[in-house]
Amino acid sequence: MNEAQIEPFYFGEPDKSLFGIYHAPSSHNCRKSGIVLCYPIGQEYIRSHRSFFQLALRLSKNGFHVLRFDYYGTGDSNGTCEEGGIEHWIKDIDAAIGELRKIAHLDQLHLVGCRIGATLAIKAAVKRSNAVDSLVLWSPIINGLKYHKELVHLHEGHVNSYVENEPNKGITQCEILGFQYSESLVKDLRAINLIDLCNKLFLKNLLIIENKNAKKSDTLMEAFGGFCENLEHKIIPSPDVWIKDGNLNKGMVPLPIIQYVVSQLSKLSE
Amino acid sequence: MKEKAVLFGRNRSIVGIISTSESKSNNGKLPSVILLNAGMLHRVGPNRLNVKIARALVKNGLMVLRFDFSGLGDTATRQDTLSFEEGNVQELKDAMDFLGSKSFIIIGICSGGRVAWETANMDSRIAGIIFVESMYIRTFYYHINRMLNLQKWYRLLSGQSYMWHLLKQQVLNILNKPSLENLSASTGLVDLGSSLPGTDSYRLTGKELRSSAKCGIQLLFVYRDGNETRYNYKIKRSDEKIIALELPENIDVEFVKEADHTFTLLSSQYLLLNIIDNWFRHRIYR
Repeated sequence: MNEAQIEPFYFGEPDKSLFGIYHAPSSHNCRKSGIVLCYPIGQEYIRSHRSFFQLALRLSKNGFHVLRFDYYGTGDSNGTCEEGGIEHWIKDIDAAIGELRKIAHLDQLHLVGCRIGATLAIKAAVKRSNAVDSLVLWSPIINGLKYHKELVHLHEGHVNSYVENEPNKGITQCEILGFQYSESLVKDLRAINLIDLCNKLFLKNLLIIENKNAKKSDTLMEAFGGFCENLEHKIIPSPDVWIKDGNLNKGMVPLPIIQYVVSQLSKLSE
Repeated sequence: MKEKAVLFGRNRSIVGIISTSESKSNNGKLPSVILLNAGMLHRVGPNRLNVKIARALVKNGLMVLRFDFSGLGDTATRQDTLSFEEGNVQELKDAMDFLGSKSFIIIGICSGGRVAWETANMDSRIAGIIFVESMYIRTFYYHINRMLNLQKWYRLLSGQSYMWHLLKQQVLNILNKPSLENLSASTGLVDLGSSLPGTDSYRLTGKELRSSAKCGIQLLFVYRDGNETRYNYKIKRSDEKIIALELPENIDVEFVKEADHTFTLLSSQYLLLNIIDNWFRHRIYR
């Protein structure tokens, strides 16, 4: 551990090991609460990475044990992107929860997921029904088909903006903004419907945060309402940090969202 | 292949990943490789390119480190008085100290190439640099192109030019009577704090290149095709391929077809990996 109280390490099966970073709680207000952060994937992962660093830093300063990690085939973890898949990544979240419980004795466990990471977090919570106390869904993917179409459209627009000689070169359902997805992953992504997951979920607290002109989804609130003791849906105007914009190398961190997540989880863990 | 997470540098605050081969060892005969941050992106690189490059090189027995400079990725910001640029150079030296190899090849995409170049000017352990969409060479044609570029004129006249920014900094520094320590030792540019340097610090002069040849540093420049006029090399097109001509002995230049700045298309990533692999075979494994 260093001065910043972080420890990078690999965990899991040796040939499929995952890269994780543990943020230890600051000593003066250590809680028995742990948080596993679930990144988005692909280009969205690259662009939101620093936001997760900042979120983890602030959560640990507020006394939480925090673990963020790369799914198999993403970031610094073993494997290639084509080898990744929804079921594999849900198991990875499960492994990360187990790893955090090995590091710290926890009374509470929370999951925070962004974009597809939010969907994976719900699926992991369904799998470990009694192990997860709270879920924070940050701009979750509600409709996988729409999400995939948006990604393909972004990819198409970007590639056609500079490839002049061969229109639609590299435009497929599986090549998306610099990453190769497998056909089975694309199929699974397109099949995502968040509403279908709600009746499988029983947990104390669910916080949904959306950050850009999103209307409060009554359907989502109704769907989850019966299965959570405390449900909150918050709109916080802030840039979509995961979307490529003109400022290619700008690392954006949406502080209002990060501060809100930290304050809400701190309240829930009092 | 084996990968290990490491902490090094002052206060062990720099986060990195060392990749090594479990089956091949070069017994210290080959240089180690260090991959640097591209712009503000963390150490995995744009489209995970740094990871792909590292894992490809490890297959040939090389030891490869990728890490985050302070303030980027998983590494916290520096708490001392060094500027972002000075901190980058210091941390690349820290990385070389940490690995302990005799010589190094540094790979820098975009801004990473600039850090590699500045460090090589003051640290002889750097035996080679691969610049990917990074430094470019200023020639006579470069000035002509600039003179004829309407966008440049618009930026100059509307006050958006980087030159105005530099001028403003110079005036402010004169008014504040800055110490010499505030000036970047290698470029003479004013310390810009944590902001990334402007395009002016990505240019190399012929004199600088000749000096690198004298030191025996091997340099590979990789650019996207379609943007070659910006770099002003003497080139020729052959079978739709661009070939750079009349290069000094220690320099190679390659162009990647249908690539953008971050090699979004998988086909362009494949070509880039091939170019890097071929360069190592031609220049390093000999």
